[in-house]
Formats: sequence, C-alpha cells, structure tokens
Amino acid sequence: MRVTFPHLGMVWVGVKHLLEGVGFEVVVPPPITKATIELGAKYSPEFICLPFKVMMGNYLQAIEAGAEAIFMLGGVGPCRLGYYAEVQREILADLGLPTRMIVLERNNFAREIFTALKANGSNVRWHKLLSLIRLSLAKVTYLDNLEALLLRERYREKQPGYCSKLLAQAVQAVDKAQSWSELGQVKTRVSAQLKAELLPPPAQPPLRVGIVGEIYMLIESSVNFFIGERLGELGVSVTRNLYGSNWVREHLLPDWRVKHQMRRIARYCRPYLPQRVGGHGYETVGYVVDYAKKGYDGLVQVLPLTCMPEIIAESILPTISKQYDIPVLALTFDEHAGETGLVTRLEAFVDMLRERRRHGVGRERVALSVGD
Amino acid sequence: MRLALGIDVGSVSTNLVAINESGQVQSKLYLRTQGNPIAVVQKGLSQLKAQLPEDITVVGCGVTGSGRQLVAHLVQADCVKNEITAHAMAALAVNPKVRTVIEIGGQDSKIIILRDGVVVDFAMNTICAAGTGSFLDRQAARLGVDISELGALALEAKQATRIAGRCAVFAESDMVHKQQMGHPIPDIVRGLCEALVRNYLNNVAKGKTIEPPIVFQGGVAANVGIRKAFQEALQQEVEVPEHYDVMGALGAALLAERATVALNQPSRWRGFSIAHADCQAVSHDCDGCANHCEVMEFRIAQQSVAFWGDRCGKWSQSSSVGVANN
Repeated sequence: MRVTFPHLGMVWVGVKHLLEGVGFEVVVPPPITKATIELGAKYSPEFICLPFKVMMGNYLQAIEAGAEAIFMLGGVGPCRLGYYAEVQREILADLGLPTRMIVLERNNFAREIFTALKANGSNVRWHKLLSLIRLSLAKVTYLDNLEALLLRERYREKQPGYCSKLLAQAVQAVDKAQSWSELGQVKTRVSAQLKAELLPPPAQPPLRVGIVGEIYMLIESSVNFFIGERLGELGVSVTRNLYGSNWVREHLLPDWRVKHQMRRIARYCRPYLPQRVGGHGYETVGYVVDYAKKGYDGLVQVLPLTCMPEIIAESILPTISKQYDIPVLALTFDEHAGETGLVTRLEAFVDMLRERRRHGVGRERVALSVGD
Repeated sequence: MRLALGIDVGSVSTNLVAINESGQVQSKLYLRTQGNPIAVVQKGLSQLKAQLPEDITVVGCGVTGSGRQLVAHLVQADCVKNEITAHAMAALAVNPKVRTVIEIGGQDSKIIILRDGVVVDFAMNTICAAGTGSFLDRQAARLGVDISELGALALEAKQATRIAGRCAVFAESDMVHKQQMGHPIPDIVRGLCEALVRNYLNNVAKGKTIEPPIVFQGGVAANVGIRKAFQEALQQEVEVPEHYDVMGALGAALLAERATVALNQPSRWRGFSIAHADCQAVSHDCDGCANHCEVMEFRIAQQSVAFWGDRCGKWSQSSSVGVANN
C-alpha cells in the first residue's frame, strides 16, 4: 500500500523512516510551495484555518504522485485540528478519489496502526518496531535541535543563506541515514561544517526574539514566509518554543524533562489564563511569560486567521507585554497573506528593538529578571 | 550645496525630497505612482534636478515605501528602510517630543508610539483599506467632488450622517443608501470622515495608548475633515507638520544622511543621469528547486545589474551589484 501523510516541518523524515521500516511504500508529499497552498485552498472551506488548506494541498499532490492511503492524526478539544481528518475525508470522497484516510485518534491509535499493518501484509516484530521508533524519533529530534541551533546562531553566519542551505543538506543526509552510525556521521560532519562558517560571537550580545504561536504555523516555515530565517538575517538570535519532536515527547512518550518544563509553563500561564483553551493557546501565553522573564528583547506570535486558541492568547498578550515592558508582534496568516507587508513589519519590529536596546528601554526588566 | 535625497515609493504616490545639511527641506515632489515606480522616479528625479540649483552634491540617498527594493537598485540607495522607521524618524525631526504618530497613506495606515524619542510600539492596518487614501479618492470621485475639496466640504456640514465605516464595501453601500434617503452631501462627507477615524481608532490603534503630542501625517492629513474628526474623537490637539505629505521621503533622506555623512561614508548614489537611462524590471519563476521563487531582475540599458527575490541566493549573490540593506 502506498501511503502518505501531511507535512509538519522535519517530522516527515521520521515518519518516512518508520513507515518504510514496517513495510509500507511511502509517498512523501512534495515540499510545500505556493502551488500546494493554492491547490489546497481551492478544495477547502473558505474560513477554515490555513493548516487545513495546506494539508489538503499535501494530500492532493501526494495522491497525484501515487498515494493510496493517508495517515492523519485526530484529536479532541476546542482546536479544529481534531476534526480536520473527518472533513478532509469527506472532501476527498466528494472529489471522487478512492484514497483511504487512516485517522489515529487517542483511543484507537494502536488498533488503527495494526489494522493498517495487517492490510499491508506487514509482519513486524515488537523489538524491531521499538528500534524503528527510536531511530525515527532520533532523526527528527536531531533535525529539530539543528534547526533550533541555526535559528539561534544564524545572525553570525559568514555567508548570508549558509545556515538555510546547511539545514536543507542535513535533512537530505538524515533522510538517507539508515542506522545509528550513519546518523552519527551526519551529525559530526554538519557540526564541523557549521563551526567553520560562523563568525565568532560579538562582544555585544545580539537581540533575542522568541517566536510563539500555533504549532503548525510555527513549525512549517514555508507557510510563515520563513520568519525565523528572516529575523536571523536581520541580525536577531531566534528561539522558537515548539518543535515536532517536542510534541511527540510531550504527548506520546513519557519524557520527564518535557513534562517538567510544561509544568513551569503552566505555572506562568495560570495567572493570565486559568484553563486550557485548545491548540497551543495555553503554551503561547506561558512561553511569552517565560521569554519575558528571561530578558528577551521582543516576541513574535504566529497564528492562522480564525484560530480560536491563538486569538484568546493574542488578546492576553498586551497585558503581559505591558507588565514586562516587552514588545509583542502578532502576525496572522492565511493563503492571501502578502510578503511585502510582512517584511515591512518584521524590519520595523527589529529596528524598534534595536533602538530600544540602544536607549536602554526595558533594561530595568532585564535587570529584574536576572535576579528572578 | 550638499544635499541628501529621500524617495518614498508608495502604492498611490511617489514622493521625493531633497534636504540640506541642517535637515531642512530644500525641494519636494508629490507624484502619482500609477503602477509604474521606475518611470515615476525617473520623472521625479529630472523634475527635482530642475528645481535645485546647479552646484549640488548628493551626499546620500535613502528609499522607503512598498517599492523600496526596486528603486533602491535604480538609484543605488545608501539606505533602504521600511516605512515605519522612516515615518518615525521624520516625525521626530519635526517634533522631538512626539509620542504618537498617526500616518494614513494611499493603501495603508499606521500608528507609531514613541517614548523619549524611541519607537516603542507600532501597528499597521491588517484587514481592510477602509479609511485610507485610495478609498477616499474613490468616494470623492463617486460624489463628484475633487479630492482636495473633500475635507472642506465636511466642515460645511451642520451635523454628521452616520456611516458604517467597518469595511470599505459596506461604507460605500451605506453612503449610497444615505444619499438616496436625501441626506445632504456635506453631512455624508462629514459622516464618512468620522467613520474612518472611528475605524482607525478601533482597528489600527486598538489597544494603544494615544498620548500627546500627536503628529498626523501622510497624504490623508491634507483632509481637514479627517483632521477635525481626529481632534474631536481624541479630545486632543493633533499637529499636522508642514511637509505632512512627504514625511516618508523626509525620513528616508534623514536616514540616508545618518548612513553616509554621520559615518563618513561616501554615497553610492548613481547620479541624476539615471533619469534618462533605459531601465526595466523583469521577473521570472526560478525552477531551480521546489520553492519556485519569483526572481526579479533589474536591467539598465539591457544590462542586468541586480537580481532579488530568491530564497537561496542563487541569483541575488550572482549579481554584480548588491544593495545596502541596513
């Protein structure tokens, strides 16, 4: 059975390794471009959030490339993502496509997977499955960590664009790696290459900006017009709060470090937002407080138009912004978003942060948070 | 005479300013872009040259506005800046104590909050162009009033007709409706001004603390009806600077001076001769990878001088001339 799944940043590398390992033929959707978004938007409800439309584009392009079944996550709670799969299933049916949707819900996760494996005629032993999962997760985790490092250090690359090129090469290499030792070789090679291409850290610490918001818009930089990379090119050291592998560690595996961090974020969030609102609204508020306390210079919130959890967070951020004297820029995206307006806002935001730093605005806050 | 030039290439208007060493405006031009930024800047440069004395040296040239990147290649700018920074810079030059800048241009409107001469917050219109210059232009044309008289007409009104200003489409149909009901035109125009101000304060300026001194700039500041509506809505004095219509260009000129004269750097400015050169911009979709970037190319006398718009640098790094992006 030729299977596919929607894109989410680096996650495809791991999912591909896992699915191929258990015997599926995998069709990775082509990288997301304007054409993908247009195609998806054409067959999606107008006021659904952007991730739905992009995923729809992924499916259609993958089906064109021969995919017969789609793996997709379900979910519960107020975020519409939990219901994406059901609506998408209906749209594909209306289009007359015979594609199967395999929807992994919380209560049928294992059952669905084993049914699919059986239908595919795969016979995987437990220990093989476990080692496949471990290597898949290691691949995605490594790429996520590399991306985080590049976001943080891009401001001191010697050649503009080098970091993005290195990341693209690393993704290809990690995708090809079939064993722990091959993955290790990629890691060694990439860190050596990176070291040679970075300028020494400047005496003046760089501006630090945290990016928070809706998980899909954050992770899939091809739909947020590469804001992390752009900020880096403007000389900013960037921290992003969510990564694909984090999500897996938080929700699918018992990882105490992630759980511990999430408890702290929850503590920060509670005074402003006492309950979960679905999606990552809760995390957005908590991380904004976290970054403000750590003395970041500014924060960017990324959300798709009509995203309820993030709209709730957006309405709370001005309060935190005032309290900690830290600027927050909220950026809303849909398929009509224009690049020019975005670039203008980002540049103006960075100019503003630089001037604030130069004049010592908000420095009291930084001094305070060091003692915190 | 040593001069710095500022060019603001907006969606509706293209403005050029020449300032002297003390930052005073020596000469200014307000032209309609009409969708052809290269031609209009060329025309503007030759007009500006004619206005200025013979013995001038250009010590710096800055560009801003939505067409800044293209024009930066045309003139070889020393400084390419976004509109927000440029407008804030110009407002500070006019009134160093300014705490709020209201800017309404052809297609966008913004608010800039400053404290002690530093921009601390800003916002731009995100959803709708209701309340910007092009919308006013259109309504004036529909009412058969010259755009420059629209504001004065609003002042003649005895009362304001209530117009729904949330959205340009609704505002227009509401105006048609009010006309059919028989409301006098001046009342409708005043109502329109108030609706636009309300829309601005509820959308662009939402959640911002507007403190005096307030500077109101951009093309729409010419409209006395809007000025009055702002003063009434804010219960504050609203200052309109002398060169309100070219503040973006003024800011760009000041920033260019800061990038060259203040740092003792020579200007990269191409010279006024570019006004008569054969220039054109062309674009193509790069098919080097899946990103399919729309790559722009700029040619002078059929010679490529610059590429931009690609994510990977395949084109832009191959071009012989880069551009200062500070």
